[in-house]
Amino acid sequence: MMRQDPLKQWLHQEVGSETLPKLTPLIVIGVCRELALIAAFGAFAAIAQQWVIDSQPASLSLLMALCAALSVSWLCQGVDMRLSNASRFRQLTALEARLSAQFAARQHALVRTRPVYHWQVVWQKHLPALVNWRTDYCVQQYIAIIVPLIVLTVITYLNYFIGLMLLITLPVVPLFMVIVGKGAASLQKREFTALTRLGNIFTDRLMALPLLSTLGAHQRQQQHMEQASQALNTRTMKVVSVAFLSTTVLDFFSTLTVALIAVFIGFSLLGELQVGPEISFFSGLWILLSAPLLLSQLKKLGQFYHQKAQAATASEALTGLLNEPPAAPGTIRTFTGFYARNFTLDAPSLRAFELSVAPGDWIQVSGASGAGKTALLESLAGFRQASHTLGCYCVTLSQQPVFLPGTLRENLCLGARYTQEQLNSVLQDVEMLCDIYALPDGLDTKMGDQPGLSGGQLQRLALARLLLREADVWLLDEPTAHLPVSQHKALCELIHRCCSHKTVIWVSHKPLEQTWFSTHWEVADHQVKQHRGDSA
Amino acid sequence: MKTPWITLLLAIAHGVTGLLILIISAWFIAACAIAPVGFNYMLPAVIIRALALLRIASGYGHMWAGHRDLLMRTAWLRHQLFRRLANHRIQRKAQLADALSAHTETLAAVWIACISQLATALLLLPVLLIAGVFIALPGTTWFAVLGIGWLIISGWVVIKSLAIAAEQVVAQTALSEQSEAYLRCSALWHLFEQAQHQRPSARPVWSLEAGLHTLAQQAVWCLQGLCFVMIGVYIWKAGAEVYANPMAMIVPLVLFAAPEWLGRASSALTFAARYHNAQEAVTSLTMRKVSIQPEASGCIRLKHFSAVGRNVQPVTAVFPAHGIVTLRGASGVGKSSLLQAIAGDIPFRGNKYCGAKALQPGLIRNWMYLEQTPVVLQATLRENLAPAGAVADQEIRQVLSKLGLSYMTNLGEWLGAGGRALSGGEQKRIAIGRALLAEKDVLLIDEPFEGLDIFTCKTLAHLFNDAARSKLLVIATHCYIPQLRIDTSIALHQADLPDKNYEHA
Repeated sequence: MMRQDPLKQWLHQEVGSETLPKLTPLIVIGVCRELALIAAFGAFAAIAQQWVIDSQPASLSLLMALCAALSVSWLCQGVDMRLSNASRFRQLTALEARLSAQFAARQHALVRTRPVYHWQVVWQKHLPALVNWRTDYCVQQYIAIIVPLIVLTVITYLNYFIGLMLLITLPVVPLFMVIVGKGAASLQKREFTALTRLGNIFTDRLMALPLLSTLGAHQRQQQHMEQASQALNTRTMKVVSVAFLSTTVLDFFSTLTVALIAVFIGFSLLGELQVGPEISFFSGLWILLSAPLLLSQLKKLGQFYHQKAQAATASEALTGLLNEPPAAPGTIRTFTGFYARNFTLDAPSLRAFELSVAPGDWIQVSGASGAGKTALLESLAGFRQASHTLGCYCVTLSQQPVFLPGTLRENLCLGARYTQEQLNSVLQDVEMLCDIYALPDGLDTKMGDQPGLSGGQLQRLALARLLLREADVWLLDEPTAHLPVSQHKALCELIHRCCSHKTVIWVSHKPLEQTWFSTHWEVADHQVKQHRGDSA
Repeated sequence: MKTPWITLLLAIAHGVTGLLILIISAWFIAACAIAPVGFNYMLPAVIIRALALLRIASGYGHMWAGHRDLLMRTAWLRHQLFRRLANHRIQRKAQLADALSAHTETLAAVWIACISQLATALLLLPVLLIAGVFIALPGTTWFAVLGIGWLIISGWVVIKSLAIAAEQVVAQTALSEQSEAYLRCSALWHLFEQAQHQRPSARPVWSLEAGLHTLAQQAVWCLQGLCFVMIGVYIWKAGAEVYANPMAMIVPLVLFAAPEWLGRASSALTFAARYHNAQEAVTSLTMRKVSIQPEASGCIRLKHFSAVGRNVQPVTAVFPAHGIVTLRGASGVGKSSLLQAIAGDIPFRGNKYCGAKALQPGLIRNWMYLEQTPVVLQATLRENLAPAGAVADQEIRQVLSKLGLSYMTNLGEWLGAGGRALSGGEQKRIAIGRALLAEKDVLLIDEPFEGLDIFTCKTLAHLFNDAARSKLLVIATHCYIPQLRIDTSIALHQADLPDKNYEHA
């Protein structure tokens, strides 16, 4: 039954069985804890027998046994705490590393598909949700089955009649819980549309605050929200009042079990009832104390139940992000040429009969927007899984230059070390040296404070950053798309001057000097057509 | 909001009955085992069963009433907050909106998640002590020890959790900033030296969260240890008073069950951290008041006008009282912020006149700014087009047909989550329809044609031409729509270019 849990299957497929620590130690410790507690109850019942029935002091051996059992149970509890924490943290670290590796392998090609907030949620909320589900819920699932079986064995050993009665009545509990759960689910389904509609009106209106004040609609929307909350609460209560029954079923059985066992044992001891084997005070008390353990673990499982839904949501968002990433993009510095026959990219679908790049080639890529030009560059650089990659280190210049909030110097160096001469030299190359030193803080200007640089100037700085990297291959993805015509021309000339000795693959919608290019790739209808050389 | 007395009462009833059942049952079987002649066994048996039923009922009742209170309280807190935000601006981030909605829920949950448990513990401890003294229970002093122990553990939990809470805020803020900066520059990752690239990790935040979680467990664990020691000592030290005394069962049983009825109160105290953080976040929410300025109509004159914080050449221009003015310029040049500054949504530099009157900062009542990404409310179509109400259905239908949306006939249809999903073009047109129905005199429209097909662009252009007969439309766009009858066009430039590049109309 447990093997078929789709969530576990999913995790197994995505992450594999080796990466995450095994849960067996946690289960064993959890069961040991309860076993020791049952033993302690036994020892206590024996002591009580000596006190109450035999009017003797507790024997030393029994006291020792009780202390030993209590210590074991307490220590198990402590170890369990430590272990589950350590395991949780190991899992989080492992999964974060997997996600990080996926980021490293697919980079901008992955991140640009969703807003930043989405990735933050996936990373900082969904990973813990998944791990908590695995460490709490999945472990408790086993404990909730094993412990009642042990308790039942002990009780049956002490008094087969009570054991038999429990064995007959116990399966009713999960049955009732399933029935109640089904009822709640169908209610939830019936109310689903209303609940999703009304559920996040608060966040929706918070995002629309400017609109509401412009239209003077705040008050009316406030009233609407209040009505919606009321409707939402009524409907939620309808679902919840059934869902709570599931806990109540558990409560009902566990409370009634204790009450009825107590009355049964009491009456048997009095001699008012003569069913089953004879009961001593010792076995009666032991049974009474152990009986709550039958259902308390199931109750604990119920407390973790919400983790399952959270993990399911997390699994949807994390699909494809936790498996072993493909080989990291090429790090070889020198480009020796590229030839691909039957180039294939699956997502988005793109085919090419033949693509070839020789060192020093200048290739222009054209095609309508959305045809897959960016995806083509990304797969050549190795950020997307395609049949071929250039296999060497490539640098990319995108439409909008991106800068870290740190200083200009940090933005140029990006963690590597460059001398002042190197920095000055590339700034000279991109004709920004004077502009930068005209800024009050020069190279130490913070880029987060909008230092008053134009789009063209920022793109030049991005170019300088690429020049520092000394890569043989440059992938240019419409670097001038957002610039006015005059700046577009100037920047293109600059790129041509700076990169004349490099291999360049350049996507552009705007006209470029045709004589610069040796090859033309045309992307249309999921096909890339190569026109080599002579046509220029 | 009123104190949820019923919830509290039910929670206490649930806790008390649970403990009582255990105590009375154990005492009962002990008493039965050594029953003297004439022992009234029926009464305790009935009491046990009655308690069981009471516990089940109060358990369900507590969950039900507590949840109802939670929902009502959450709604109430949200409504209060929303009322406070009338004519205010907060950061427009999904992150903040989600956080506020989570915080209000945390604040509301304090009764069900913390105070109920605490009240049960605080009531049970003295009652046990008094009852123990009253019926001369062997080992009553252990209840006093238990109470003191519990108080110490609880105090420690509160102090430690508040310390963790303070660290959590710092760590969470740092992580949000770092991860945002990190993810925003994904286009640069390939340029970093692999070994040098500092990838932020969520582990500090997770370890604090785990710390809070562990603290709750540790509290129970310590209490359990204390109880186990007390049970051992009690049995070891027990004298003749326990012989043949069914009452002697009670103290060890209460101690055995303590992690259940008392431990939960200790671990619930870690909620103090969450409550504190939520409270802090809601009260210290940064919001900016936007004043509403009276209506202004006539020619608009801008003199050395620019939005604060944007590096654009100030604009000096005159807009007619009605007609179409387009703003052109490369993206990122500040068209949107200029439009917002004209509408009064964000602070500006320079001067803004309407007719002869100099306009103060603040929203002008009869002007309206339309964002590039249109806002579609989660509401009915009617509510979306007239969020302030008071528009006849007839009028709404007219505007819909002008927008080419006459196929949307059901004005009661729900838009957004759980309803009709709109295409980008439909969203744009809904937002424009909303602006037209609001009967504003000046519309400042940001990129209305972006992402629309030619046919829709044409429809919109005609609609704009029509509206321009009585209104002024300032449209920021980089699309060329031949059908649009433009009266004036203004080109925006960045500040680093020479002065001649701004235009006088």
